[in-house]
Amino acid sequence: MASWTIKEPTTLTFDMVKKLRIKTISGTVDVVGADTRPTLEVTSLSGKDLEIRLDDDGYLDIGYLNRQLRWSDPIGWITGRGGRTSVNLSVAVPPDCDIDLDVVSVTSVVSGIDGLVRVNGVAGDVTLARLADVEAGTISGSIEAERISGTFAAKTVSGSITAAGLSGRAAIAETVSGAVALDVEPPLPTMHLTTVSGDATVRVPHKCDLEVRLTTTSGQVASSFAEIRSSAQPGSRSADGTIGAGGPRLRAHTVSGHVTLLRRDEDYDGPGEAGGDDADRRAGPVGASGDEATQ
Amino acid sequence: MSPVFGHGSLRLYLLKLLDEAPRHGYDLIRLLEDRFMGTYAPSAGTIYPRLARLETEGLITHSVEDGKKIYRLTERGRAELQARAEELADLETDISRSVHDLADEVREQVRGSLSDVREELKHAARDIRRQQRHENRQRKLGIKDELKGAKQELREARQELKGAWQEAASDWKGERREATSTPSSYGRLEQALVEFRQRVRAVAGQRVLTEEELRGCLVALDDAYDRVAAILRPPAT
Repeated sequence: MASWTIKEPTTLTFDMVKKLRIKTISGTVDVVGADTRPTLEVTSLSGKDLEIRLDDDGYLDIGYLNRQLRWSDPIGWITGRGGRTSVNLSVAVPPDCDIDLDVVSVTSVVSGIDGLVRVNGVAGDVTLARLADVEAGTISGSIEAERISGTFAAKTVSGSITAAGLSGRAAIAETVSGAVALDVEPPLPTMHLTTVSGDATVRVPHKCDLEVRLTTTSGQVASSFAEIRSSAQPGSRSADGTIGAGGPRLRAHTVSGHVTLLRRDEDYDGPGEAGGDDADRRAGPVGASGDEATQ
Repeated sequence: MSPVFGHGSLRLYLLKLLDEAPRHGYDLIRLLEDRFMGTYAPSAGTIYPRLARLETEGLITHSVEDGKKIYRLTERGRAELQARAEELADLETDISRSVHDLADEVREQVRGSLSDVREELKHAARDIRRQQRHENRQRKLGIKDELKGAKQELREARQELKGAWQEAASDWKGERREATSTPSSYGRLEQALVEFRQRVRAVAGQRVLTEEELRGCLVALDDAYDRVAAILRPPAT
């Protein structure tokens, strides 16, 4: 096991990192997956010393580990009583690493990771890009994600949740007062959106297979698909329907927020749908022959 | 530290990539991915709106080949690229970037494109909701109108029926009135005959007629009969 104590901005490199754990209070944290040698850059630092520990299994721990932060004065960490503890750090790790961030008022970026990513924050905004499986939670910080290909699970209290290029197995978004906006691409994930007062909006490809149920207590439910029929009873409005052949499920529920399902324009030729230049061309004939087969 | 791919630099980089060769949107995403050392690439949902914007500004144009859009630089785009040659040089010499810079670029990038997506979805959602509300209102109005129409029709039908009844009733009354006050010709003849008998009786009184008187009366009646019959009988041919 190796350990370092950082007192001033510096750069460290490591031999092998399999799992990264970061616990900081304020400042910024960047984690980038790269096929280079694992690197830690500390660009600025104030307050307490930063401790780093790398054990023999490749578990890299960065943060205020022992003794330094007593739970007796957590408010002091944030208010800066006894010197503001803040650090801006950037880490490059192999893409297959697992990442675990526990942060307070930290702006964070995680990108290019194939392993499991978990971000737990309080006030800082979270930016996620090009990840497979991610679980992110904040209180007031917003969560922004682009190109998540496995499971996307985001929870906030007042922060907004925005994701584009979302595909894969599942997308779960829960918030109290934040707004949720998801732009999804094939393969469509099973989606579950829940808000209290925030609006929930999902945009799906022009052609897709999806089973939809949208509900709200006092908001408005709207969709751009003719297949989705809306109905209203006292105290609840809903819209149900199956688009295409059905399959992945979309469930969205709000209390007072609006729920909207949008359809992307037809002429949109995104590679997400195509997966390559000729995939689009392939899609046409395949669809056509499929129709013939059913006749 | 200012992000390398901050405001306008992605746009510049896109122009540079299109200056090298006409490219499909997907190629651009791949090349940007290289630029970000594989850690990030814009999603299709965010790159296409950007391209569309450049096109609106007249910096690039596209043609459709095999059903795919191929983007290329216009003269105006080339001029912009030349005007910003220095900036571009900075962008290109900046190869050995730190992790921090890279992460900053990613953050800028994702933030920028997601705020675009967020706005786009927000507006689209608002439009749809508005449209739906409008449709609902129209439908309600339509139902109201239909109801109004039906009511009107009912009213008209009722009026018509009433009219028909009144007509029928007045016809009937009219006939009855005709029957009593203006009798038919046959009735009048009948009445005249009755009156004639009464008048004759009144003249004759209760006394016994002499043979002579009786004969004279019978001749006169026969005469009267012949004259009436001559009027009523169709002329014999």
